[in-house]
Amino acid sequence: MAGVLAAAATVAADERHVRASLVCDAGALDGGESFTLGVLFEPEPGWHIYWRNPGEAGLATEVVYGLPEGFLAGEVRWPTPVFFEQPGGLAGYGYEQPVVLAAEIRPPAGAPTRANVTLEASWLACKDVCVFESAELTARLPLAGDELARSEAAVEGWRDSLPKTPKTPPFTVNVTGGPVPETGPADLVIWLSWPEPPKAVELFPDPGVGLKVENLRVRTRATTTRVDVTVSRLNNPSGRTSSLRSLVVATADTGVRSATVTHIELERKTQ
Amino acid sequence: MIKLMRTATMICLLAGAGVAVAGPGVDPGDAAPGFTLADSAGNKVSLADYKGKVVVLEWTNPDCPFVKRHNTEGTMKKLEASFAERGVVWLTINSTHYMDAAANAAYVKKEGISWPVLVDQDGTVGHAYGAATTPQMIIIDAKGVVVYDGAIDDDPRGNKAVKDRINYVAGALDELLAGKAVSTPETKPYGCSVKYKK
Repeated sequence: MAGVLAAAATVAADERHVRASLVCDAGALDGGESFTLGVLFEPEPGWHIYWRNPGEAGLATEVVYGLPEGFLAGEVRWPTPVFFEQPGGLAGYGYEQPVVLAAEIRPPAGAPTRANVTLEASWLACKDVCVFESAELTARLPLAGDELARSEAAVEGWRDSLPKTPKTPPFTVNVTGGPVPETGPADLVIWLSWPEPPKAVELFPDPGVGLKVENLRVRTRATTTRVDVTVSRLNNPSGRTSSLRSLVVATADTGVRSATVTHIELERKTQ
Repeated sequence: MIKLMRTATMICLLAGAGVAVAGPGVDPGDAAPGFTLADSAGNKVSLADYKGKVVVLEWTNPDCPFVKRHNTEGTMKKLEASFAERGVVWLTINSTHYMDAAANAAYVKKEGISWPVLVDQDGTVGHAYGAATTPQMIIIDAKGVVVYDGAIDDDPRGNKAVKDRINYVAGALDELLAGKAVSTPETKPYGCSVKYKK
C-alpha cells in the first residue's frame, strides 16, 4: 500500500491526502481596499504538510498567485508551525491541522468589480510515506454568500495564527559561543529570559539558504530558556547571512501558543 | 566536542558495532569513513577498492517521490555517464530499512542502472555519513576526503528547466577534475527523510 501511495506522483483531487480550497475575504474589489487571498489546506488525519523551513527533510508548501493586471500580491505569510519527528529522528516543521497560507492583495486604482484569479498550490504530503500533491484553484472574485462567510472565518483564523513581530519581544535574548566563523560550525547557546515562566518554549529556525542549523535542543527551566544549536555558513548567492531568523513559541498555562519572530545575531563576538 | 563524538562513532564502526541513532555524520574536509557493503547482486564493494579515485555517493530510496522525479528525468544516469568517462566512480547507497538485496536488484533492473547499488538496510553507512535525505550526495576526492555534502541541485520542486538548474555535483566534480577547490562544499539536501531502521 505504501508503495502504491508513494507511486502516485500526481493524483486526482478525491485521492489527495490534503484538501486545498481558495479563500478570499474581499467584499468588493473596486473600493481600493487591500484584501486577503490564499489557500486553506486541510490534511487528512495523520498527514502533514511543511512550513517555509521544512526542517531536516521535506519540502516547503508553495502558493503561486495568478492575478489580473495591476493587482499586487504581498509575501505569503505563514502561521506558526508545529514540530514533528520524521523517520530517522529528523526534525520536521509544518502543519497537521487545517491551515491557511495567504497574502495581502492590493487592487489597482479603478479595479473592475469582478476579477478572475488562479492560485497554484503545491505541497508534499507525508504520513510515513510522502506524496507530491498540487491543485489549481480558480475563482471569480469577490466570493459571495456561504463561500465568502467561510473564507472570512478562515482568514480571521489565519490572522490570529500568524507569528507576531513586536517592537519589544516578550523575552530578552543573549547569545554565547559566537561569532559563527566563515568556515566550520559554531556551537551557539541562545539564552532567552522571560518575565514570567512560560509552560513550554519551542524554537523554529528559519535559516534560509545561507545557514545550516543542526543539533537543536531547547530546554526551559523557570524563567530561562537555553537553546543549544550548531550553526554553520553555506554559500548564499544573495549575500552574507548575519542573523538567524527564528520563531520563538511560548505556550501559556492556558495552552495558547504565541510565536514571536526574532533574529539571532551571528556576527557578534561573545564570551 | 563534535569532533570527539565523531571519533567515537568511527571507533564503534571499526569495532563492528551498530549505531542506533543518526550519527554526527561528516563535514567537508573530513576523512571519508571506510565501508564495505554488498551490492544488489551480492558482490562486496568497499570504498577502499577505489583508492585514488573520485567517488560520488548517492543516497536513494526508490519509493521517494524526489528520487522518482530524478529517475524520470534521468538526472543521475546522465551525470554518472558523463563523469564515468572521466574516471569518476558512482556508488548508490540505499539505507531504506525495508529494502533488501532483492528489492534493490528489482530497482536496478527497472531503472537499468549500470553501477553498484549498495544495500545498507541496517543504516550503518548512512549514519556514518549523516545521510538525512533521499537524494543526498557526497563527493569524496582522490585522497579520500569529503569535498561535497548536500543536494543534487538547487531545484527541489523540479520546477526549473534542467538548463536553468545549478547542479552542485556536476559543478563540484568539474572543479575537482580541473584541480580546483570545490567552491560550494556544502548545501542543504532536500527530499524524503532516509527511512532508517528504528
